[in-house]
Amino acid sequence: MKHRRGRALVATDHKSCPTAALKVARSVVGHDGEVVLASIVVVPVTQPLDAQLSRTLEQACENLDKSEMAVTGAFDTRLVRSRGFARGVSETLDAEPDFDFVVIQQEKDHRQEDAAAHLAQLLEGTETTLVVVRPPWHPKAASAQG
Amino acid sequence: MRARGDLKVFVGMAAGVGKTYDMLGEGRERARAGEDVVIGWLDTHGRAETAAQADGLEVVPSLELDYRGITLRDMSLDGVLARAPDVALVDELAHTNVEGMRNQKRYQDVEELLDAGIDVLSTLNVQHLESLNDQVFELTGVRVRETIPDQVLLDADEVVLVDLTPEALQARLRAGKIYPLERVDTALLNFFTSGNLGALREVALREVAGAVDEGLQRAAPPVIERGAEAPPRSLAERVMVITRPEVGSQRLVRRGWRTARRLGADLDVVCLEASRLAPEAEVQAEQLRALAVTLGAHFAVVGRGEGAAEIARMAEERGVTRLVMRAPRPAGLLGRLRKDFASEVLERLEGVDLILLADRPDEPKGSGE
Repeated sequence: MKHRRGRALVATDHKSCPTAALKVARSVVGHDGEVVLASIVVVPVTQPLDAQLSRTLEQACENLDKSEMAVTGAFDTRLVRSRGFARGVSETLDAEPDFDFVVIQQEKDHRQEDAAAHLAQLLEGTETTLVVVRPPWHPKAASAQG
Repeated sequence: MRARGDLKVFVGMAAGVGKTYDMLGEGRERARAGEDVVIGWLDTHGRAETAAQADGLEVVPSLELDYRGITLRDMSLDGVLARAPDVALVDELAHTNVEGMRNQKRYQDVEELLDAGIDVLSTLNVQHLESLNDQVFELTGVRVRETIPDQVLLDADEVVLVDLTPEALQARLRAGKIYPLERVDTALLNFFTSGNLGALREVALREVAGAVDEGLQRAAPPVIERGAEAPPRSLAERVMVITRPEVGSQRLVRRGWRTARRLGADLDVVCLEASRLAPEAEVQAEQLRALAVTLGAHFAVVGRGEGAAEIARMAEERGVTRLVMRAPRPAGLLGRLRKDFASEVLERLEGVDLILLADRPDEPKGSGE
């Protein structure tokens, strides 16, 4: 039987380059596995889903480029327009159901309640294993490191 | 209950082209035709011609608000709603309302007027559109703070471009018809340069006309002032990304899109079909298509057999000015005997720039062309 390589989806917003999450994703799928970074561009409900959003897309592209240059091993990207972050992740998983893990990184500027709401929605909407990465700036991660 | 009113927006490339004047002109015409027309808000900026054009039209008294000890005036939304005219003229659609008013922005006030069945005539400078904010900043170096969502313009029932050549606008400026004479020299040296006005005119034309026929664009380039200044950007920039469906190809598309955005150009993405589509190539082709759609680019697939000749034909037909491709990989002995794909395409296209992007350090190598 052919061995299927592991796949991890790292989901981020357009503003972030989630280097810590990419490292964790690489370690969970191994060197043979594939890491896919999805930048979820949230389109406000006041605008159509195909609205121009040039600045947001520019930021998303810049961060995908930066991430792509920083990672090693099999890597791919997705740029997703959606009405919400968690919804964008779910839609990506619906389109490609063979991801073994979803990795998200908690960013410093994320409001605690927003992050919690995203997580709750993600847990509700997907059966894929969810990994939340808290980089060293995070108070809990920092205290855990001693 | 009255049906929702119609919104007509007079769009221009800059202050002084005559948007407000034209709006008032239409207001007068409609009043003459028997419609009940009022001025909801008008800012003449001290221009005598504009004030004269407003003569005879009823003005709804403005609102006076106290803001940090200063009395500020703004449109009285409730006043216009209570007056319930057929048509309201509301100048400066992108205006931010004084703090404490019901709505934050004037276009939201206009929404309420439309909902109440009142037709609205309004004005807008193209640089106030949210999606063009960065582009205008790149073109002119001036950051516009007051923006409105593009959807407001898209939802308008009618959009009128008030156009003026850069020379004519500069002549109006020199004659003191836009700003007081003491501000004219500074304005001519800063925002009102031929380069800026030419570029903004192009943006305004594009925005209002949408997809302007390429032949038409070339037949009617913006008139520019002869002089030492750098000419305005070309009207017909178009970027084409050529790629195979493989890992790393999305980066090429993103780079191409960013290049196109900086040039104010449209983007074509051409995917070269793999000879025997492996499942992975199919996935990559689908991802490329999805990315192109997300970025608002035109996507096409070219059969491998058609190669360089077909690409060159498409590029010529669509007026492409820049090609973006992956840098050729080091070729083996056999590869060195034949021309690389980029050279083959370029040989067929004169005057087209080529941007070659390097692979990321450990990207899997494709089959090469």
